[in-house]
Amino acid sequence: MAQNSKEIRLFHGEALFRVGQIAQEFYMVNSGAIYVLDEKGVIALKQFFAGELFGIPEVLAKGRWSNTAIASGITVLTRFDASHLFRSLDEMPANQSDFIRHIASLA
Amino acid sequence: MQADLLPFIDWKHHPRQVIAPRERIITAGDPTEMLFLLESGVALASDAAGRGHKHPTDLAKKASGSDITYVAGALLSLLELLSLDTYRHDVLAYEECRIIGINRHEIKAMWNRDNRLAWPLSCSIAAAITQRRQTRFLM
Repeated sequence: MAQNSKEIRLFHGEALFRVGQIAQEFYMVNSGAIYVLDEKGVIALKQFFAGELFGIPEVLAKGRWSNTAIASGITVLTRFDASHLFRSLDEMPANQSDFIRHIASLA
Repeated sequence: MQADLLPFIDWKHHPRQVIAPRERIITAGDPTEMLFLLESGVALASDAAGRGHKHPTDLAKKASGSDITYVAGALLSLLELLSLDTYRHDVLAYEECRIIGINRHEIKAMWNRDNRLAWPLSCSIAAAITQRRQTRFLM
């Protein structure tokens, strides 16, 4: 997974992605926080903190971001390339990828 | 058998609890701190139970519609454990149940030993599924 991911650092208030952009990557917060804003950019609809992963459903749907996301404080994330998601599953220990596939099968 | 999905857990060394028929194993609103494996018996999770519309006795008689039936080997309300802070639905013993509880932090720590992505990825997928189910209920 390492070569398919990149650490990025955002300043407070810097946008991670904007509404309408194609969702091609998903993210894990390493430190700081990401706020997903409402359409007016005023209210935080959802917050993601260290250790949380987000964006996978949008990426799997090959959709566009329906909201803008910004950093709250200096925020460090790992950015994962969506095209390698399933390859990454295959590279995991079998019990972990089986577990994740099982979870996905419950949809 | 869902328990096989967590081969690193030695279930033999965790205490068992026996739950009488019609008693709650999980109560809606309980923190999702514990994962429960159903070792024997049958249990039901009901959407109606989660909303408090039905008396447990009534629910135990009714295993249809949006109810989920759990049999031996099942991990109870696994999606809710992975995606929520508190359980959303009651899980009732339909017949006498033997369950094993294990702390979620213990599982997460064991999970993270091999790969730091697996646990948050599982939680993220579970959250997406739970949100979709919630939307379906609202529609």
